[in-house]
This record gives sequence, C-alpha cells and structure tokens, in this order.
Amino acid sequence: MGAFDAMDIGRTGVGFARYWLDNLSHNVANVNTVTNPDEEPFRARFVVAGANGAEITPSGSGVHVADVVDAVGDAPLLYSPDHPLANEEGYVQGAAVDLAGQLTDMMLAQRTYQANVRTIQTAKEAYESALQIGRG
Amino acid sequence: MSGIGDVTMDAVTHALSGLRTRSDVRAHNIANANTPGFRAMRVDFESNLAAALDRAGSRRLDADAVEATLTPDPNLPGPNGNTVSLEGEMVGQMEDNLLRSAMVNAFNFKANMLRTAIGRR
Repeated sequence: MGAFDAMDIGRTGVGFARYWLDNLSHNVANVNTVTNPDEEPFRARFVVAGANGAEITPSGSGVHVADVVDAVGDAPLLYSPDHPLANEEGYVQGAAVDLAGQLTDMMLAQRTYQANVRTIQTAKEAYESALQIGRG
Repeated sequence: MSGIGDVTMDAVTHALSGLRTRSDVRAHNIANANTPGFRAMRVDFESNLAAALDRAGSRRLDADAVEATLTPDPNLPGPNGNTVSLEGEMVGQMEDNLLRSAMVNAFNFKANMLRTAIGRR
C-alpha cells in the first residue's frame, strides 16, 4: 500500500482511455482505406480492457489493455473500375470499419478519460485535506 | 495510538483509513468502467467501526475489530457483464471527500482542546 494509490489507479484508467482513443482515431482515419479484393482489408482495431490484480492495492489496481482484436466480417466491395487497385471485375475493397460505432465509442472513451482524471483530482483533494490534520 | 490519544481520535483515525480504502476501491471501479465482466466492489467500514465503538465505550478501540469489509456492488450487470455505476462512484467520491473534511475538522477540534488543556495555543 503506497501513499498515492488512488492516483496511480486513476493513472492506469487515463492511460487505458488514451490508448483506446488512439486506436479509435486510427480506425476513423482509415475509414476510406481501400485494398485489392484479394488482399486483407483494413480492419478496425478494438481494445479490450482487463482488470489489474493486487499490484497496487489488495482490492485491485486499475485497468490494463488485455487485448486488441480486429473487426470481423466482410469488408464492403466498391465498384470503381478506374482505381489502380481494382480487380478484373472493377471492384476495390473498402475498410471493415463501422464509422458510427467508432464515433460512439469515441464519446465513451472521452468520458472514461474524464472520469479517471476526476479520480486523480479527488485523490489530490483528499491528500490536501490530510495535510490539514493538526493545523487547528 | 497510545498515550495522549483517546477513543475519539481512534474513531477519526479509523474512519480516515476506511475512507482511504474506499477511495482506492472507487478508483479501481472507475478505471474498470469498461472492462467486460468486471464486478464493482463496495467498502463498508462504518458497521464495524460503529460496533467497535459500542463495545469500547470510553476505552480505546481494538484496531483489529474495525477492519473494512469489501462486498460486491448489488448493481445489475450491463450488457457486457460490468456492474460499475460511473455516476454512483462520482457522487460517492464527492460524499467521501465531504466526510473526510468533517473527520479532519473533528480531529483538529480535539487537538485544539488538548492544546488548551496543556496550556498552549
């Protein structure tokens, strides 16, 4: 048990939310990435959270990135015969990214970031009030 | 705590330590607000502290008897099996901070009384 446990735990949460936002930005940035239909398409990356064990406190120590998984399912085929990556039938393959889902996830990730920053602020206030003990 | 302390100071000390455990657990719950299958926990130190105070009367508190207990939060799990209530934890953090200030004030009030008693202000 250290002096600033709640802050350290808040920091794991902020770090996770930042990593999540990074991946969401990567997915949204690649929403127009096209490939030849014979190749693997761009697939959105999903970040999976996992709870930490007793590294910081016995009751739990925040969150970590447990896994990053690719979106499943078929990527859309787009008819674009003039495209240099098009196959013989004139199709290129779009990205396997659900833009609406990515944008709602982005809101969630932003709120997660804010909530964990709030944890850090609250912990800071708690330590400040501890410094008032004995000040009369 | 020994010597100059009394049951009031013991109670305040244990309450502050219970609040500290609770804020660590809240931080862990908030950090895992998106973890699939995560079960939020709650810290209860009030029941054990109240029982220990009842037993102690005006004598000093038994430190082992005032351990905080952890229980799973009774919230219904969301679609991914997670039971963290983010807004509940936020409101709780605010309440805990108010309670912590109150405890610090109580401690300082007691310490001032002691200072008066020993003739120094």
